[in-house]
Order: sequence, then C-alpha cells, then structure tokens
Amino acid sequence: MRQLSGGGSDSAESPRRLSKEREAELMEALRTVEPRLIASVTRVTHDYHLAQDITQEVCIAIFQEFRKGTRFEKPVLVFATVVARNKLRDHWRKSSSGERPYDEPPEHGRRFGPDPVAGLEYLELLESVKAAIADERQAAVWELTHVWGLKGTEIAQLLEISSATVSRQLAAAEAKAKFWREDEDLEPA
Amino acid sequence: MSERQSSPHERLLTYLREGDRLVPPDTRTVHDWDLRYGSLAAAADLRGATEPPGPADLSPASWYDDGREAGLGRPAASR
Repeated sequence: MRQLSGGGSDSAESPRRLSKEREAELMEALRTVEPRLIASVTRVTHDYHLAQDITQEVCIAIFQEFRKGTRFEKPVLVFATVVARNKLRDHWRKSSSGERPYDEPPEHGRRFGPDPVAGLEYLELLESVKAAIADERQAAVWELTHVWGLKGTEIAQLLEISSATVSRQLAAAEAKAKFWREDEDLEPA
Repeated sequence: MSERQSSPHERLLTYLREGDRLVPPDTRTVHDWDLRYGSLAAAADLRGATEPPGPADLSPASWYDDGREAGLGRPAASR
C-alpha cells in the first residue's frame, strides 16, 4: 500500500472501490477538510467562488489518493493545504499569463478572474510579513497558523518539528512581524 | 517598542479578516453532504479517467521551496 508523507512516486492506477471502512474514513476527511479549506482560500483570495473551485479540486485529489490506496502519514488536512497552495499558485500564475485556469469551458460564464488584484495584495502583504520575520521556518509557521489555519500539531507534522518548537517559532515570528518598523520597509540606498 | 496597527502582522490579519466575512455559514444538512459526496465521487471518477493526479510533496523542504517560487514570495531569509 502506498504511503504519502514526503513525496513518493505517483502512478496512474485505475480507480477502485473502497472498503466501507476506507469510504467512511474518506467521508470524514472530506467533511473536515472542505469547510476549513474553503474558509482559508476565501480569506486569501477574497473570492468565495474561486475558493469553492480550488477546494473541489483538492477534494478530488483526496478522493484519488484514497482510491490509489494511499495511507496518509500526515493529516489529510496537511495534504489538502499543500495541494491548495499549489493550485492557488497555479491559478495566479495562469491568471497573470492570461490562461484559463482549470480549463474551464467558456460557457460556464463566470469569469475566473484575470483580476489578480486581491491575489497581488495578499502576496505583497505576505512578503512584508516574511521580510519582517526574516527566518524561513518561522515565516512558514506564521503562514500556516494565520493564513491556513493549521493547528500546532498539524504544523509540527508538516514541518517535521515538535509542537513545542512550533510554539516557540510562532512566538518569535509574531514578535518580529508585530514590531516591524516602517523605515525597515525602505530599500537600501 | 510597541505594536502598531500598521505592522505587517496586523496588515495581513486585517486583509484575512475581510476575507473571512465573505464565507457564508455552512448550513448543509446530512442529506446535502451525501449529495456533495456523490458529486465529488463522480467528479473524481471523471478526472481519474482523463487526468491522473500529480505528485504532492508533503516534505518541509517542498513547503519552503514552493514559497520561494515567483508568485508566492521570495525567500524571507535572503533579505
């Protein structure tokens, strides 16, 4: 049985029926992940419909992993968060290049937003937080906590550190991000 | 030194809170959820036949690397 933790190869396998136990596990995972992910992606994008679309893509990815027999070594929400961030990044990349994200047929009518204003604003704000924190791991803990809404134990599993370290890194990150001086935003002359 | 409303922390949290207000309350019933599960299963069937899932790397290194890519920020530690 395939395990998913820090990568691993994927192969196209034919969909298979899940046992009742696995299907119950999948349903519980989706029921937990879907509302949290919609909330997180909406808060990032300020676009509820886009959040629904991205969340649906992530849920389909979870479905496919279950059908491949994947046993998640990390919480399903961690998998979902990683996939969601990747899809969001792809969405913004395609929007900025004028591509139609997710190959949505034109007849759907809803503009998928080549209006990346909210995305740009978010990215700029996130950049300023990262610049203030100036530490990659602390910035990751800050982002996973405040943007993606992960709990300390979930962040610990994603970043493969202890929960105590997560707490310490978050405290350090917040201290730096809260007390950033405006003159530090200025580019060096 | 004191915390100010204009700190990067507060500015991004303010932005995120504005997004929170756009999320309607989840009023789905068990029946609604069963229908939703069915539609996701059908979508996964269709997608699986045409588009096998890509790999998802859940390693810490991948999280950091993806955050450095253009469009999701430059590495904080490099500045």
